Amino acid sequence: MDDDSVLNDDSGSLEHQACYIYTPTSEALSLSTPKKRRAASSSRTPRSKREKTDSNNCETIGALGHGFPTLLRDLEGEDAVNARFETFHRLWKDVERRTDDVLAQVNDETLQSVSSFVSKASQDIYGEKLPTGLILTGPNIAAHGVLFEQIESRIQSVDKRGRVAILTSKDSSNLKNVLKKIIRCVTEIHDGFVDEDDIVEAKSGKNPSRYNYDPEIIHDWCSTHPGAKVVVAVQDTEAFDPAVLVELISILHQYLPKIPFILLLGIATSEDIFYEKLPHSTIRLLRGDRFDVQRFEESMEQVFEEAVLSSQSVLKLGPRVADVIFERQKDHTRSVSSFVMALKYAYMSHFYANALSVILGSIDSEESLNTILSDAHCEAIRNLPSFKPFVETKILGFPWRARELLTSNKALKSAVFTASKECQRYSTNLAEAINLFRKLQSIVSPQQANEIPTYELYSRILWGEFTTRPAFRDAMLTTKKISSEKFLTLLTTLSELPSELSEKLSIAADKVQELQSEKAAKGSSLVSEFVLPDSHRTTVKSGRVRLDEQKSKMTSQDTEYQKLVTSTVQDLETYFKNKFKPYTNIFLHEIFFYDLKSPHSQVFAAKPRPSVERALSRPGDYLGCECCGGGNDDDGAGIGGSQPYSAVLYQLYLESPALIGVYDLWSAFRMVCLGDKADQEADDDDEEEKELQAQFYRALAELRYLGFVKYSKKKTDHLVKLAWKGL
Amino acid sequence: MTGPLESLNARFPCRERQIDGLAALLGQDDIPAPPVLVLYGTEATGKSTIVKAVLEEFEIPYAYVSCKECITARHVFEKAYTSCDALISNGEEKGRQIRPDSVNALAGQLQKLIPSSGKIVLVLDAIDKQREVTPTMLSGLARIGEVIRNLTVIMIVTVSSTRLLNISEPPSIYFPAYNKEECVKILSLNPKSIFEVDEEDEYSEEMEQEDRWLWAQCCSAVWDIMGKYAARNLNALKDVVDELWPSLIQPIVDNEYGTRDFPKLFNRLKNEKLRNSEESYVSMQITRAPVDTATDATPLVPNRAHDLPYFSKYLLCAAYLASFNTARYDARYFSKLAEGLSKRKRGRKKKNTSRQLNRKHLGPRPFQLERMMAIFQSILPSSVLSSVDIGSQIATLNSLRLIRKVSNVASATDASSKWRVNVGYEYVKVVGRSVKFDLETHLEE
Ligand SMILES: Nc1ncnc2c1ncn2[C@@H]1O[C@H](COP(=O)(O)OP(=O)(O)OP(=O)(O)O)[C@@H](O)[C@H]1O
Ligand SMILES: [Mg+2]
Repeated sequence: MDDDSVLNDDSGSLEHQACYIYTPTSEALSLSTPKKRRAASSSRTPRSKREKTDSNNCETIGALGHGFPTLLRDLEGEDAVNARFETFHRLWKDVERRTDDVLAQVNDETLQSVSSFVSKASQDIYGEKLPTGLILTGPNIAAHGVLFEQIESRIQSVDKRGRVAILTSKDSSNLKNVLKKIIRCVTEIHDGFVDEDDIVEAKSGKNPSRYNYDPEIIHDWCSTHPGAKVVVAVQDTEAFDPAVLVELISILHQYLPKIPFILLLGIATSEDIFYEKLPHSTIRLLRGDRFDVQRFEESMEQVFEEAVLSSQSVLKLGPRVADVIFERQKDHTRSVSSFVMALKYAYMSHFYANALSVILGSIDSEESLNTILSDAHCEAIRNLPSFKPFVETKILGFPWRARELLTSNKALKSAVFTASKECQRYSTNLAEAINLFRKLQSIVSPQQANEIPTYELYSRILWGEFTTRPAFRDAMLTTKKISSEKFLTLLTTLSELPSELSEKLSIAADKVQELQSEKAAKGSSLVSEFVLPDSHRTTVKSGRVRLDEQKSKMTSQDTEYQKLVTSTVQDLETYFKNKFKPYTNIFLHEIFFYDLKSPHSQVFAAKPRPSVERALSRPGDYLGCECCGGGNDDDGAGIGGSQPYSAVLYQLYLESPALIGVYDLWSAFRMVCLGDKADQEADDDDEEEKELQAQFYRALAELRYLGFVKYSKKKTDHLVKLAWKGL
Repeated sequence: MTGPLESLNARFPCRERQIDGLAALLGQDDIPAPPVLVLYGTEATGKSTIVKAVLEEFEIPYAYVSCKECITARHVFEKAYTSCDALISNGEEKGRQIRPDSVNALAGQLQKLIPSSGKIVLVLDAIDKQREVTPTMLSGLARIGEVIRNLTVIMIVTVSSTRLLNISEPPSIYFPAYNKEECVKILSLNPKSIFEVDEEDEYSEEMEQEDRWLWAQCCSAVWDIMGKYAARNLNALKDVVDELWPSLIQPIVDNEYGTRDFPKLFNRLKNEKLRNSEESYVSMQITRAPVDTATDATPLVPNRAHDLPYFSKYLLCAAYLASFNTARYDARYFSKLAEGLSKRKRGRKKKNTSRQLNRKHLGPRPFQLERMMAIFQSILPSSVLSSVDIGSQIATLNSLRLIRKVSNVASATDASSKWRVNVGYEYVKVVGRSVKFDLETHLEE
């Protein structure tokens, strides 16, 4: 992380503060203006709410009103600060729009099939059974609400098939409430639902008024809406009270002859679990279909391609951040929306804390770049880690250029402009090559392509080590071994993708085609030496024999084809090796690749419990005072009388068994706090002793408040240990 | 000569006694009908259908209330009143709606409503299935017929007992469950046909006979293998036969087999569709023909299930272990020290000698969250600092009801709150296997 310290000035750094200690002195209060404090607080709580208000107000807020700090030791110009702010919004808006578009598509297939199920469901198909759609939604709960809203709007507003009532487990307290909710959603009547057994007055004179839970109300509604279906959708079936669900299904089934009910059940875990929870007699009433929602991996892949790989995204994720983000996805969240949040946070912190991010705002015009970059900026650029190797390469060829870069800001600025173009080219090429490689993999070994998604390859590719990985070498090897038909498809597909190889590949494709048709005229197909003998059970020896046999049988077309295969694979390999170079090789990569990992790991995975435990067991870490053994070495930590009382008590607590006698604890506490004096006879009137006792009770109350202990009910004057350290 | 009884018996075979009984009690013009009548019998024994048919056949005016449709007791009263009202006033407009909210109110209102001459029947179907209807209400309802002379209340229930209505010996008719022969006979009334019958083709006598024969064969064969599970009653049996019929006759339509090759046909069907899970087949499937779609789709798209996050899987395994292991032996199973291992071996030997019930059969027991966290940390390949992400995964597992909170402590993730795993061994085993965690070796025997 040391590399980054140049980029992160004190005021904007999110890195250096291990914790925030609040000391309410009057001096501090008077010093910080309200504006500054807001800036500070916004850095610590970048919650989505704040973002929203910020982005809404960004036009109206004037200079520096946006809360971005002045960096570069206050040397940054006001317009540069504003430019950073403005660039952040511009770039993020663009990414957000594109990801939203992708996400809108994600559920499309599911919606399509659900909608056709709903429109087709009729008595002719399902007879007396209640038409039921099981929607396998996957365990990402956050996405379910969106999905069901989409279903609702699709059926209700787009298809105009009828009405949808969405139920969640919160509604499942009893059958009456569920029915009331359905009736309200369907008929859009809102009067008469206040009291238990309220009466709903009929809209038209024809129908009688009814109890507010009477499904006949829906029947009345249906008679005025012929052909409309009534869809009851349960969003979280697992959490829905099973008893109520059984009753609900039986009621819906009872009314089926009168009301065209359709049931949709969202299932997050598995069908088997769902079947286990309902009695057979209930399941027998249902008949229908099953719908699968796109899996997380697939939607994540699409979003990743659009939001990160696409050449329209100027700022890219660096490998370290990518690893942090995707590891968290895999281990903890598995949700696309949380990835989008993380990505936004990356954008935010880059523009917030990195003064040079201003460059990203004017990559298209050298002029504006020249005006926005001040001397302080230039100095900061010269301090970039990538600047040194950049200059060093210049020294060899053009020493005067190197000198100019160091001395003249003008020369530096133009170098920055070219370098930014270079960075963009690198990313475009990278995206192209990744795309090409994925296509190749999906044709050559679809199994592997399915197993490892693109976003997991990404960081290795950026480090430049991907081409040495088995995954890459395997792909290249198997490319040689595939059949000639497959090889032809491979060539044609790859040649259609934009890349510098496309021309070569299409020529090769034509050639293979030609050879193939020549060979087909003779009634056989093209083979190369690499193609394994068909039989799986060949020993090495017989395999070799067969290879020799094959070799002798090879025609001139085959030989030519083989040459072609060899050279094409060679070309591909060089191409990939060329494009998958480490990103750190390029000048200014710090600007175009955001790669600070600790803000993410701190902000997105807060660790309250370990922090509290650490603060109590090693208070020196936080207080930094000498008396508490604040040394860095491990043995420096330990119990000591000078530590805060609750910390002392906590450490004693750690050493005690599950049931703690309060008196034992007190004696130990007294021992630690008084040190040598503790040996003297305890004297109740002693002032010091009294105060210590008070402190003891206070510390104990604190531990209790934090949830570490509670008083035992079984044994008087004993405490029960509730929390163990490190869990 | 076909009197009403003959035609009824033709429509509903195997129910002569019940139909006779109903006709004797209700269909006699000169004898007043009893004030209350109880029909009882298990599911799908023809109670509702036959009583309606008899009433219609004898042209007795009746009001019918299906109590399964009613949500509350008041709802039952309302429906009973309005249906009687509709029967008597024949669609005439009434000024104010009357909504009796107790049995007495219903009796009073009906008394005002019902004219003093002419027989009237009120059928309360499945009145015992209505949860809000209490035994006192039941006996109250039964007495309405005594208050109103010419009204008969027919109650349809599943089981009848002397205490049901608090009346000594109300007249009642039992509808016993059908046996195999009766079921087949009843279902044979409406066989499905083998070949699609177009308008032009004539449905010949011969074809009809073939259909009948095969259908009856199919019904009885299905009863034989599934009578105990999925096809326990007439309706269920009909469902299963309906479901299987298209696949059964497919070979005949394809001209592979003749109509009379029933054993071969059925064997083939059994192998294809039922596999060896007879009990679970039809009753457990909502989706039609899952077998066919599965075979088509698998080679193209590997239909992988939605996955839980990595740590959620371990949390679930930990919750399972915490529920099924005794806390006493935790050190033995989860200690990473060598000592723990050796103890564990010894412990196992000792356990085998004493006879005990397998823990798996006793159901999950509640555990403290802190214990689950300890097991979680110990089964992880490399430890992880607990963060809010772990907490939110526990919350998610809870809303998916894979684990459940059982105690009512205020805060959900309070260390001392009690939890329980809420899914079975098979599911957790699969989840564990996907992260290469072997549940079995950590589970107490
Ligand atoms: N003897 C019979 N002859 C012909 N069909 C019958 C006979 N008995 C029952 N059925 C048919 O079986 C089906 C179920 O009958 P019904 O609904 O009357 O049974 P139930 O006793 O009221 O069941 P539940 O207790 O579930 O209400 C109906 O379709 C009915 O026509
Ligand atoms: Mg019935």
